[in-house]
Amino acid sequence: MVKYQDGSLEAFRELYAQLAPDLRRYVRFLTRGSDAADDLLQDAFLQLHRSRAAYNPAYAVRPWMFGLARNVCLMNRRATRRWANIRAMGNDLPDVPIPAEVERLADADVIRRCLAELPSDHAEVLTLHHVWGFSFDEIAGMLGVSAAAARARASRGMARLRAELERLSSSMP
Amino acid sequence: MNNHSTPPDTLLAEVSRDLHAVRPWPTPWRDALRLSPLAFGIIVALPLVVGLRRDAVAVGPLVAWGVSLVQVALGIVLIWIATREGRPARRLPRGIVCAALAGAGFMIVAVSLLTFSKSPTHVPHGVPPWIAGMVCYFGSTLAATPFFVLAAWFHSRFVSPQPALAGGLYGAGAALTANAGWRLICPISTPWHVLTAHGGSVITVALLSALTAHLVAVRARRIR
Repeated sequence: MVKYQDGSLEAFRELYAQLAPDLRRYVRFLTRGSDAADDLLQDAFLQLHRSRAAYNPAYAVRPWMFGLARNVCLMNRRATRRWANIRAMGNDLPDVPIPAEVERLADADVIRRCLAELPSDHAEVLTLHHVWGFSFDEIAGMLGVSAAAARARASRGMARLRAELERLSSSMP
Repeated sequence: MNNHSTPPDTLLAEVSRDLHAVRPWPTPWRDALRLSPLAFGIIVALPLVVGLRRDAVAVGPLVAWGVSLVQVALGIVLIWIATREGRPARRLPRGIVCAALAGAGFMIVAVSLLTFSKSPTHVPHGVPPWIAGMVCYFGSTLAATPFFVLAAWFHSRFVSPQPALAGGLYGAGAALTANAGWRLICPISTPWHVLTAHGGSVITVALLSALTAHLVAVRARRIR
């Protein structure tokens, strides 16, 4: 990131290569698998470019970029009615990541459906922590909540997810 | 099939078009503290230019200067919170933001009552209260103008999901700081005057700043 701030295009390419795959999954998660996710991802990188001076080398790059992508998604959701379409389109949840802790409890589709039924703030913290490995302090900075609140959301989300998966597995013949 | 590890050509073209070295901004604390010379400049310049309030002796240095310094400190804290709010992954919990805003409101009321208890001065005879109110309202708002100009520049750099909140916080901090200087020259301590004219100015600047931040964000989205 520092090299990119110095004006290196190669550093931008490297940054993109490192961050874009995970970011794309995160944006797809936020937009429920919408096709608009790719546009929003490009918006996020464009926003990064325009505000690259705002980044201070004292910060970690990944939470910064995830936070930026989240802001872009939220602003876009407010600015347009695209979100309504995203909600309607995203019922098949094509790319929602699955926490490793529950991977063995059911097949991927079932877990995705259960995840989709969690309150969105719980599901987001759950995946940010368990899938992308952010600390609760980092998540707190991205979401504008306290680290304790982030921890509580992840914990409640995981408990509900487990309960739902266990209920489903016990109801299966 | 798109390769998700390679930036698309349109993005690369956009980035290449405007790729020059930039100097990283300081951390939010340093950013907020950079405004402190301007803040202290205002509370020193206003009494020097207009003259210290007539009842300064009755009010005492602690309630006059001491309280103004505390008000400036709270203003800078609000600006710091706004600066954090304007950067991704650096946001503070909502509770802290609300507490800081409530603290600013409490500060205005408490300062008004404290000053009135030390020196109960009223609008001079022959001067309609609304004229005195307007002078303080516009004067105090005008004193916040240097901050407001800086705020517009700050807002253009904000990357916040809630630009109006970030702008409002910045405006409240700037107005609180300017008001810390204004109260040193205003000779009227009646709570009614202070709360409506001085407090009204703080609210106006905060709202204007929130609106500016919102419009800047809308414009930035259109450009994208």
